[in-house]
Amino acid sequence: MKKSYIIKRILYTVLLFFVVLTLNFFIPRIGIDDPAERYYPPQGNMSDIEYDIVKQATRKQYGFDVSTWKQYLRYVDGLFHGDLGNSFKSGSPKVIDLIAERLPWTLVLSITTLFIGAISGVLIGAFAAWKRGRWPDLVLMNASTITTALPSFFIALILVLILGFEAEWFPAYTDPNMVADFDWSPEAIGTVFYNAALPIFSMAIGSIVGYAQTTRNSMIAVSGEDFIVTARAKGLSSDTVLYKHTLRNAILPIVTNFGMSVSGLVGGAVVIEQIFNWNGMGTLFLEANNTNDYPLMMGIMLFLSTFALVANLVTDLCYCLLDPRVTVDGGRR
Amino acid sequence: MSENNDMLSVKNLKVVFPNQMGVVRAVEGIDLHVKEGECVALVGESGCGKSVTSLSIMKLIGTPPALTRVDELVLDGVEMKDLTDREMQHIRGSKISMIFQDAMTALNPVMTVGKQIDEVFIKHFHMKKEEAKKHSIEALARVGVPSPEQRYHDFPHQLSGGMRQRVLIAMAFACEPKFIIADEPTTALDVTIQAQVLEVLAQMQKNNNTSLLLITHDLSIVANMADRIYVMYCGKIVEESPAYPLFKDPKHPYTEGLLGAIPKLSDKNHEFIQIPDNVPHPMHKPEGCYFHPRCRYATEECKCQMPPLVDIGDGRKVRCFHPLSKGEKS
Repeated sequence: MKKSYIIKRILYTVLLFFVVLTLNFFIPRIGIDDPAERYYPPQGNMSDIEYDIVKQATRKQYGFDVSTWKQYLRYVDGLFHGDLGNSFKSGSPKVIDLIAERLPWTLVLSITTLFIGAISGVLIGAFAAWKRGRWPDLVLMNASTITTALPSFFIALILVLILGFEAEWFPAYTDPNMVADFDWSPEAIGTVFYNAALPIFSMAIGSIVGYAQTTRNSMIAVSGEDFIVTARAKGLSSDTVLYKHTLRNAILPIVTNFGMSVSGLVGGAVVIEQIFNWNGMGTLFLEANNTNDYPLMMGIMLFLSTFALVANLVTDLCYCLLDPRVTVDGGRR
Repeated sequence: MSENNDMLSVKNLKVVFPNQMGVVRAVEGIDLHVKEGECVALVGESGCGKSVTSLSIMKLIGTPPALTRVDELVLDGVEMKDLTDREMQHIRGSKISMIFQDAMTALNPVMTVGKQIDEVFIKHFHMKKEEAKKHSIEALARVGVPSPEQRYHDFPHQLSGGMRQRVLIAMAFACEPKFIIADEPTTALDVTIQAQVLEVLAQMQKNNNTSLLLITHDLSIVANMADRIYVMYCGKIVEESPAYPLFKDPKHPYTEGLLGAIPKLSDKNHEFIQIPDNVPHPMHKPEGCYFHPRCRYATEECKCQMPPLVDIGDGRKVRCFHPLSKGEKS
């Protein structure tokens, strides 16, 4: 039963990948006109024949010289050779190279935020659940109301103002030479984290509170369950009850939360990256959008959605390991 | 009352739940005693304080929210009322254990049933995992679970309701405790499975000479199992009696009502007596006898004074100013 569930999940993910791939190819094409007219408008002294030659050349360069279906097949074929097409940026760099160049900088922010958020959030949430109704719990509950109401960019601006400009503890915007000077030396790595501190803080606050609240609610819900009373009636110590019975059940919603955050890892935070002038995926996507660089947009979108699909698959499979009740039909007996 | 062969003796147990609106008096000073090898039933409607009583005996009730007080809580000669939770951990599961109402929620859904029984052996007999597994499979076999080696690896949701309840029984009897509380052990099951599970429970009790406190709202399942019966209403014991006389000749009008609510096929003229109204709200219990608003024999005296629990001989006690005699019962 388990095995068939895993196989079904994988097949489903593959199918979904092709749907995403197809949509990703066709949707941008609805709004795209002839690249030749857009990027090489007729010059004043150009004859129609000359302009036709320019148009043909441009179309060929961007792959518009064949029918849409042929373009689609070519696109799919390219994908399986690791080719996401070429960007419209000057020099026609490969999309995949652009992504590879920006991705590590986004991951520095997002992975650090994820782990800070998940680890400290779960610890704080467990503590609040333990001190239920007393001040640590009340502080957390009120903090979560406030941070839910405050978007991360607002928190970022406040942090920039206080820690960046007033206290001058951390740079208020990223050192422009950080990327160029990076050479894996300890100082360079230190510089990266020094520059990343404020963006990470501003995103981590919401993340910590989110995890803490999920953990707290889940722990409280589980500790009221009958099987906890059974476990205590067996004479188990409170530590055993907490670790083997309560946490094991309370972790399920946290895993879901974690999986959802993982699928957002590579997207980058567009707004936060803008505020701190951080050259990550969010900024790249914004550039692509502003310059109508649709091969780049398509490449980024496909990359993001594929990553989300895989992250969801992994979360599902983890869930399957943690909760034996999970099956395809989702039914409990 | 408290003789030496009492396995459990509870005196003047009180449990209250304070809240913003006032105080809920769930249990108002009840006395219970269970002899060695005896099966005693505690019967009452939902909300009368049965489950709170059982959890208080296990000292599993949360304080807060509850406040408990008891003059005496003796299990097998050991006074438990002042024991800490750590000390109770050695008693729970080995000397006293509990069978819960709904086996679906009373078993941990993400652990195999075998592992959950193992825990008892590992905790109280300090067994190694392999040894505990052997004993758990034997325990499952004893309660009539077919092919226990396979069932050992099943998760609770893979078993039927009856099998789950058997697992709970196996778990409760694992360390052969001297005293077991069964809190509505068959309420979540349908009638045929109920009979099987009760049979298993009765068999296990007889084989191990265990004292059993059977908590239920259903007098009909008590009839075949219990030696003695306590009837509870609004947190107080209203009648205490050996089983057979209670069925034949109930003394308290509430007991009469409970018995009258059981349909009998054999008796064509059986009058179907219904207790009118509902159980009073636990925060607004009536003055005087708690049962008087629903009692068809109530007099002025009943409205202003709580009757005492009076010994009427033959091991019977009743809390009523006007206990029924046989002739009075229509």
